[in-house]
Amino acid sequence: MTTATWKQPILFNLDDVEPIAEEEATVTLDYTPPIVLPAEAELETTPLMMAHEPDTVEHVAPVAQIEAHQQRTYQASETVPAVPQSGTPQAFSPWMLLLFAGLSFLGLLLLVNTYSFIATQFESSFLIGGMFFILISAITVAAGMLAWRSYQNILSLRAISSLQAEGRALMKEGNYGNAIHYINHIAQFYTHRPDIKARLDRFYITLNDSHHDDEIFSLFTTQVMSEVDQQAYQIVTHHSKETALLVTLSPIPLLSTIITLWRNIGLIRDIATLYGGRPSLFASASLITTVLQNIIYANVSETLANVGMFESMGGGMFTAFSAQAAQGLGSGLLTARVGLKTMEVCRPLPFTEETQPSFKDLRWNIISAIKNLFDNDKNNTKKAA
Amino acid sequence: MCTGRCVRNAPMDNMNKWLSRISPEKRPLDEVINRTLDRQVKLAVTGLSRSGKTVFITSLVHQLLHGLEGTHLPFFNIVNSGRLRGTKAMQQPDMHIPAFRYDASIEQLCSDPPHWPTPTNGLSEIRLAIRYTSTNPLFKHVAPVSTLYVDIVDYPGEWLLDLPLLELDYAQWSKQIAEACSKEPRLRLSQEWREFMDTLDVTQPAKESQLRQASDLYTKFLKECERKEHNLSLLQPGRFTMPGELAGAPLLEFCPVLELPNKEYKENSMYAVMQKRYESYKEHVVKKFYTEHFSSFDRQIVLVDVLRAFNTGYATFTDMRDALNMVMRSFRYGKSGIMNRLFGLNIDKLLFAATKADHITPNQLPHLERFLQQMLVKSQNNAAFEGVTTETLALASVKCTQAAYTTFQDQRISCIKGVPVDSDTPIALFPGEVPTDIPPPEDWVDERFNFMEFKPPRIANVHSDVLPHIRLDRALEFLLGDKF
Repeated sequence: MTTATWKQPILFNLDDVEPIAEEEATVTLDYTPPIVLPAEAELETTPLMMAHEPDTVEHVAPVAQIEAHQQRTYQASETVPAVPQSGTPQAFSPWMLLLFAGLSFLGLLLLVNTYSFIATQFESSFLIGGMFFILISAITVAAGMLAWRSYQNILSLRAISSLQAEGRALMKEGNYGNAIHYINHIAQFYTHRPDIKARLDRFYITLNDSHHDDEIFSLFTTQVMSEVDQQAYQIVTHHSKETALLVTLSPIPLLSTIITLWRNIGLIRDIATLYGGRPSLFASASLITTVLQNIIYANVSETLANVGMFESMGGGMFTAFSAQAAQGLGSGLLTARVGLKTMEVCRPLPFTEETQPSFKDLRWNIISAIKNLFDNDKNNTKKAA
Repeated sequence: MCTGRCVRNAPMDNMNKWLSRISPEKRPLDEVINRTLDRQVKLAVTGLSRSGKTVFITSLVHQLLHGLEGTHLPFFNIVNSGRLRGTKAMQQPDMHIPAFRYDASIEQLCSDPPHWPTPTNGLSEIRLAIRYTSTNPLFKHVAPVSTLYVDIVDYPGEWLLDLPLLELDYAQWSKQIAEACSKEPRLRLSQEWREFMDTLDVTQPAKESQLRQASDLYTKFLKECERKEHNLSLLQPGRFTMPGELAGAPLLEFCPVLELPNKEYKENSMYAVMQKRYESYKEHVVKKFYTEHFSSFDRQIVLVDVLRAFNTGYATFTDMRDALNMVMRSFRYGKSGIMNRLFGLNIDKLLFAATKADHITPNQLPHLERFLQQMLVKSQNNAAFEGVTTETLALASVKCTQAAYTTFQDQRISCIKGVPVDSDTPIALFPGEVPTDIPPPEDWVDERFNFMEFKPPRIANVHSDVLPHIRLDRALEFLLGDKF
């Protein structure tokens, strides 16, 4: 739509114009019920049409040229990368080897650690060893299955990465009249939720035909998305606390790792369900990296807590416990990071710089939650004593 | 003995002078306290005549009074966050000034058929008390519900143009006017007055009849300039076209001279008499107006009817631009700290608003903003230099058109629907394009711009329905948002 072609006023037939979609008619125009357009109005438009005809012709030509040019560039860009692609997979990459070796190392470490733990238990008694073995296996299988199920749930949601890209483009342009269709699309994600439906209704009443795209985005963020974001924050805090607690209690690296994996995937599922969409495979690469980091952290720190600190610091109950707690706290914070990352990739309306979720607010929530846990413990021990 | 006392008193006198300079008027203690505690805001609604000050104030009061009821101020945070407890129009602090006739204005706007409020011909004032839940960590527990007082003054825009006179003496002013009258369209319009002035010898003793005739002809010239087809803004002195309570006073019987006398003139000569009247006009009319109402503002909104300038041509546009830039120099700008709040006040936030934004298609609002920004770049620069936060906004105090789309020559274009001010039937039109840059003078041909005026919208029930507007909430948030 280019209005730039017409500089002067043009009158139209009232029946020919369509109101702006989905917006309330805020201005009442019916002074006299039957709308009879004066005959002169049409006369005025005719000379203008004639006067501006050359302009439009001129205008169309460059557009066609640009399109043709774009098509050419698209074709070119499609053909170009084909050449180097064929070469890369065969080439030996030390990075891949490093990654593979590193992962195998960690995996082996897990298994060896678990084996030694169970072996120690078996040494003391066959019964205790057997029980531990069965329980650890059961927890691993159960958590693994739950994680898998969560993953399946995530896959069943719609991918929203393209929607996000569209939103980002619209925000950058800052035009008029384009955002509402996009927002309508996003609104469909939430119409089935009664709490958000009310806010949506309010949003649509607030909106009027003079609002620009950036105003619509900002309104939708404050009136609708802020509520969803709050719920997402709660989910993140909740999961982080849980992970922190479970990792603190878990005695061996294998359990820590599997618990972290399970809680993280659960967290991603919950947030994705809340926002109503999942990231496409490409967009979730950074998310997977964050989850991996978290898992590696759980694994390595647990091993260190088990092997290093315990021995060097005298192996007291308190030392063991505080090392475990620190490790739990770390896992909790990393889980929170996974949560924030998930919010970023799952929110259909992309975050702007001002609305970007911040780690700062969550950090204290989690730390205080863990502190409370120990305070309770202390109180309990005091009471018991 | 006398010398001794005089010497002793001299520092005291100096001190008093100094104090009176920084504190331009004596203000009651409670007002000082309220201002120091940030509980009171004086909002300067500035604009030339017919720029929409009265409608803006009416709509602003209306929106705030209906603040609790709806969703009409989404960008005004205090309303949107639900912290507003209510707004009430209060008795204004200055008893000798008439109250702003909000009821009358809103009744006119909402009558059937609706029409625009009658132009202001005198000074009036309104005070709004806005109750809100405080989030300030200091006051939250002491006084959970706080009140912000907002004072707004309405006045004829013509009077605003008197403020620049404070800096000029009679000779300087005469020179300025003579220069302006040497160019079209003033050259043509001022012909009768100039011809009369040429017949006079201003160094001769003054005759009352001549003085009266000169000022009558000058007034006639100013009124001619003000007419719709010329739409000139820079018309001084302002009381000539809008005398208010001064109609017929000898104070208004003077006019500038075209040529300064180059020979000796006596005390009772025409020039000396007119000079004296000019000085007393400045002293008794302008200074009083300035010190009582214009010396102590916290926030300012400058309303500009850009579309009117477009419609009448380049001369009107430059005239309006010069007038506004000149007026803006009369205000004091600067960062407001606690010291500033105690003694003399500075404007620390300045909003430039292009009014009647509903008369163009909504997708052109940024164009209008950009144009206004370019038009007032000088004033904006001055204010920003003093550390004042400025913003430019296209707004409509009362939205009287509706946006729509239509297909024209196979292209989907944006247009508006509304009822023209001189008709009863709604029309749909594409109102024309607002340029983003100031067009060169030769582009301002007659048919280039023709922005139509519209009637106010019809409101079914004044007491429950809220006047539609464009971006008034954003203006409010900018002007008052940080005070809550």
